[in-house]
Amino acid sequence: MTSVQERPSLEDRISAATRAAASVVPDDGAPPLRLPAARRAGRVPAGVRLIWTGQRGWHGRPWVPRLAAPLGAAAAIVAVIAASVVVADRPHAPLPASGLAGAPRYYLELASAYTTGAGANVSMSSSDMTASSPPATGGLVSPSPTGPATASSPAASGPLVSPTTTAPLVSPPATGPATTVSPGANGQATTVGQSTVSMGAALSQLAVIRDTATGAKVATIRPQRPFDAFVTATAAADDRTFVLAARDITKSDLSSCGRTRLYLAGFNPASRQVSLSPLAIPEVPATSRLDAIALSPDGARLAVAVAPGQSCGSSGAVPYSSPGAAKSHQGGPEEVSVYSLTSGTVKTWQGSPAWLDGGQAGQNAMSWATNGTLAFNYPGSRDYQAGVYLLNTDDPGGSLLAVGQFAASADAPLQIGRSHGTTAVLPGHWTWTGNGVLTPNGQTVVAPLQRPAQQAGVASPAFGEFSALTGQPVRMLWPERSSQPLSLGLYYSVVWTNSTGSVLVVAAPAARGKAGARSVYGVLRGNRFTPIPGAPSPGTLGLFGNTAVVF
Amino acid sequence: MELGIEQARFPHRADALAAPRDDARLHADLLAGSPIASLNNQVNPGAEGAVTALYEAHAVGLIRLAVVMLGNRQAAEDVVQEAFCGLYRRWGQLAEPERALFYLRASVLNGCRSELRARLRNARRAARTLPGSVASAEDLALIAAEHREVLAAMRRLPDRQREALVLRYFADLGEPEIARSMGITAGTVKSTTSRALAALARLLGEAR
Repeated sequence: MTSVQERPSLEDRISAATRAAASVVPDDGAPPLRLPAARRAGRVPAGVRLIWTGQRGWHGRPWVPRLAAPLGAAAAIVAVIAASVVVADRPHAPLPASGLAGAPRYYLELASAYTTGAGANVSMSSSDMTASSPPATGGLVSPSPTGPATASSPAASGPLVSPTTTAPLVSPPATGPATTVSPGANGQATTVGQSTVSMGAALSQLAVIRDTATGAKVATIRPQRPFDAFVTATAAADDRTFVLAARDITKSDLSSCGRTRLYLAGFNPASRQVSLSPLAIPEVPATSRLDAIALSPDGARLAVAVAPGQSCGSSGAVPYSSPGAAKSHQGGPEEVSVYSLTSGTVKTWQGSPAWLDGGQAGQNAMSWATNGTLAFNYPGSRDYQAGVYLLNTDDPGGSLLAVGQFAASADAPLQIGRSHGTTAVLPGHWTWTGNGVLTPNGQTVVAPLQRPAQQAGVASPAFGEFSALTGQPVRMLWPERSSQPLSLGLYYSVVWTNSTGSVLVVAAPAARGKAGARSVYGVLRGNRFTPIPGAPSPGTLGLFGNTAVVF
Repeated sequence: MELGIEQARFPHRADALAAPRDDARLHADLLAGSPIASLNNQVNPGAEGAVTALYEAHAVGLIRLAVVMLGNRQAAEDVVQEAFCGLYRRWGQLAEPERALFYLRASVLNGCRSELRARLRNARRAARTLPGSVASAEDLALIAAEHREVLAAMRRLPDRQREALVLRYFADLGEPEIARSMGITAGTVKSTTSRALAALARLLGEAR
């Protein structure tokens, strides 16, 4: 009788190999610590306090009285508002005929900023917001902008959102009402410019609408109390309609999400005004995790992916290779709900494991085609391979993966040994480094690729286009442009695609400068990459990770 | 809950970075070196004791971490030594001394990246071979062939993917801790680790 020895899982092999490598250091293997005799005077200027900022290392921050931070932040906010007034009054030139042509005129950036008061922020008062609410027809717009969503289930009839004429939120402040803020925890308030500022500044995350051609800030959207931060967003094809997820971050940390609510924002370029209306979609409770949202190109449907019972810091994505690992995953299913913003109906699909391969706050974990097909990135399990799946949202709800049609693989070796499209591609195995995005015409999946290093730390980035019908690669863009050390701070991702995939907005490494390579957002047309002026750095760490831009 | 899952799946693993000292004593040492009273340019009198205590508790684990990243013990010891010296120099300016281990771990990872880049530059200059394979013959002799294969494949991964795997499967850190050590989000840890596993499986010719 022979026994078959089960091959150890990859995770176990990694563990064993790394421990074997580390075993060269015995338990008493640390040499004596050799501390410097004294810190050199002048190495850190007097009055400067170093703070640790993770991978970005040590950074000095002037050590000034605590009040200076909130006051300075308030002054900065006022400056930003003033700047946006100036910008708003300036006529906008059309996008240049070359380079940026074909990209959306406006985009939305989620950016961290100081707000005022403990957990409070500079926001509109309730009276300001009543102008933006609610349709009498009982759609998805909540009657009370600051209260909980009143519709625990979507209305059976009537639009979820009613197009209402709204007051401006913050920008441009010249035409809107003065911004107000509720007192902070200590109840003290100081007036700075138009804003009333309470003591005790806190970080928040705002949404800023920028002009793609110039990078100019044309509007700022602030979350409504009690929500402190916009944590993710999605845009319709008109680049004027956005859905934003606002979270109560005062109750959020790595182990708890804080409740999250969805808002519809409409930007009027003519008036530079933004309307913000709460959607009557049930709030995502703190005990669940919002993984992704995606607004259809026509703005009529919204896909919401939630992992019930998962906290923001919970694990659950990694070890699926071991037999039964996916079954042992205890995070519960992923629930994808598609809401019709016009009729109020909702359909829900479920799949396991609970994780949509979101990465950057779920950005582009889901994408839409104009025919109602929803693409979602799946991390892989024992039974289903990783990649992009397509969901016909006209079908009834049910099992996400049983109904979903596999489109393109993020997992299988991709051998490309001949010329594709405009560029000859060298042979090699390419792997996905980010989410695949479905083009609005439903024909193509675009994904960031990387060829594993031939030399340690050196990688070859590219963007690949795959047929959504066959899964086969149809074109490679920008490959081998720069083989360079893949360090922290270099990000590759597909942010937006036009209808056919001929014009993309991506995050990709720019040319190497004195400080080394860094990633920037830019427009990729064929193999031509044009950085977007004024766009934030893709690697900038905000409240919830990398700065997100939404086109 | 997550720890329970991990322990159930990997019951044989010991915490590679476990501190032989108890947390209370370490915490007391850290408090002794509290930076609150030291906002000038002088090294806090308690800094040496606190940093030494941290070194005693975590140096071996951090050297092992660096050895896994670099494949060379001498270079690993240098990186860890520099990380502790950096912590000591900046102790008086530390905003959160209780997070010192996170600072150290991130410093070690930064040092490893710098070392690998320096090797890469030197290798290019000298037109030599893979910079990531600079392990001493003595070190390699102690590692079985199947482990060497995995380690060689890991060194072909990008820095971030390799670091995520090492922190996860060698250091047994949870995603929040990995995120803090690498300066990325927990979500990015998940996707990076998942993709690293897929890439590694491909490099090793394993089906996943």
